[in-house]
Amino acid sequence: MWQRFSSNKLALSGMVVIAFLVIIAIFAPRVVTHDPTEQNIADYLQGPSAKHYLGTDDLGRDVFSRIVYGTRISLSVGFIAVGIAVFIGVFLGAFAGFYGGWIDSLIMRFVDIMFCFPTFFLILMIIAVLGPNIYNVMAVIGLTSWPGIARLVRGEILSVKEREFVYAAKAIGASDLRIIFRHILPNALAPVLVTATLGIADAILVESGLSFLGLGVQPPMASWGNILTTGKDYIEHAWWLTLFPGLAILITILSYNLVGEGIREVIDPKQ
Amino acid sequence: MEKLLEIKNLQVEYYKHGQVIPAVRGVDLNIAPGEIVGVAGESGCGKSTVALSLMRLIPEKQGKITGGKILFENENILDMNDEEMRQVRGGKIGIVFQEAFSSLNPVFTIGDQIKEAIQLHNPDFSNKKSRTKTLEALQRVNIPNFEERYHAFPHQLSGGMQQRAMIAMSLSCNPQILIADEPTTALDVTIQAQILDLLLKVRKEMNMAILLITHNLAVVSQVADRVAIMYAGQIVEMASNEQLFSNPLHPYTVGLLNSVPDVNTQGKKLAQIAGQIPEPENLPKGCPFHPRCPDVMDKCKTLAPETLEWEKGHFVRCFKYSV
Repeated sequence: MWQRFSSNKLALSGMVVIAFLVIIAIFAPRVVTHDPTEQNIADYLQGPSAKHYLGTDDLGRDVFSRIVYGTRISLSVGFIAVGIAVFIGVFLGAFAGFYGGWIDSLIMRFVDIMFCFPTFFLILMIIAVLGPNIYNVMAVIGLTSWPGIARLVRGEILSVKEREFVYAAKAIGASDLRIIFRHILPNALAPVLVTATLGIADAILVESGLSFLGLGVQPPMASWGNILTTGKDYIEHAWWLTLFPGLAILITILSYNLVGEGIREVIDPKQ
Repeated sequence: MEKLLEIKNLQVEYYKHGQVIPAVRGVDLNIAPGEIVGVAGESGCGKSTVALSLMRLIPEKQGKITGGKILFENENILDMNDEEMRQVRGGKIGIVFQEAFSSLNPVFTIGDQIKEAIQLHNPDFSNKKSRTKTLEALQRVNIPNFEERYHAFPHQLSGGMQQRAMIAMSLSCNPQILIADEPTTALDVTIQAQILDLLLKVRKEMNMAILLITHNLAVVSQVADRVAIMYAGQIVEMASNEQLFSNPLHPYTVGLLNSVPDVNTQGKKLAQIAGQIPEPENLPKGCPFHPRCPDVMDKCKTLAPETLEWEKGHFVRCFKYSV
């Protein structure tokens, strides 16, 4: 498996980039050159230089340091939001697929309803009600992105649950829960892994979007999205305020997508 | 005779497209401790359904046990709640399926799977003790290098080894009855013989009863103490091994035995039973075998025969023997 994955150079480089980002996020305080929230009005809107690698914003804050701290936000939002989505999606999808009947209908109709909402506007609305902060953003993205996973897991469970080893598990006296979570799910997890990886990319994009609109991470806390917000006002004079956070988002999303596609290729028996 | 398991008038129906399909129509069968009972018949005669019924493993939406009793140590399995049923499954009755490969979970090693069965029925066992028991179970079924094979995934084993692992799993909690549903059908002949020897060996060591479901009469004649022949959801003849093979009574049994290929009759056309097995949803009136029966009488076409005891321990369901 690993060999087939690592022979895909694009996916491998995506994985290296993600690993690099994770390290940066963990060691952010040691990586930065300035306090990301420290204002230094005298140095406002400086271009990239030896002192400020990626320049400064309108309040003289170091953009490099802010982007580094933004990595923490983006990665944690990605992981936690997708974690919530996978947790809910796997549970509901597994029960729907395994038990069928009215449980299945109930859960799947609810999934259909969730799919009817334009997700981003649903998120906007909830955030507007709950108030913008990073925890609400994580929770709301997680709570709105599980239906796809539930539908996927249900389909996988349906195809696995009629296999003979499920009867064999029942025949050694395993309970329903044990059969679902120990015997069926591990056989259905590969596509979930792909969806989750791609889902992290989506979650990061949504967070950046929300922060850009001022509904996500609130200044002075740094996030890629809210650096861009400042950048938009000065795009004619201070290109670095837009380019670098934009690049950070681009590279991260691209890496997750490459890794996701790489995993998909590895587990796809048709390849 | 002491009875470990007693099936009384078992009836099972399947449902397809709103149609009711009777698969088992009143089966009576007893098994004594340590006895091997063979159930033989053509595909679709209901023999596997009987096996699944004993474990209540008939898929819920597809079929249902509609009548009868299955008494295990005088307790009706059909009245048990889920918790009691889990104790029976694997703990008191073990089952081995035809396709060992598809019956083993592809994502776990065989050791883990056997260990799971042991831990399910012995929650107080430590991890180490369960592991030791697992190794014992692998050793009991003669798996060579069993300590290495503990860590093997199902796809890394040959068909025979997979079936041994499956048997080890079924035996791991010392069940009193082992249901073997076509355990050798997917294997080649030499491996078949080894698996049958293995079943005989564990029967002796553990004084375990075996219900052997097969369509292979040669297999039945080699290992079974008693044999039941099924046709269209009913047992048409039941007798001890010697009685049945030396003196088959029911025309269907006779037909089956005649259609077994024999090295000495080389070059002759193989005898076969005329006609087709009836579709279960469309059984003929009277005796279900009458359209194919060489000895058919008028009353066979309208009346269904009852089981009668022709000689001691030799039961047959046919009008030829009613006086």
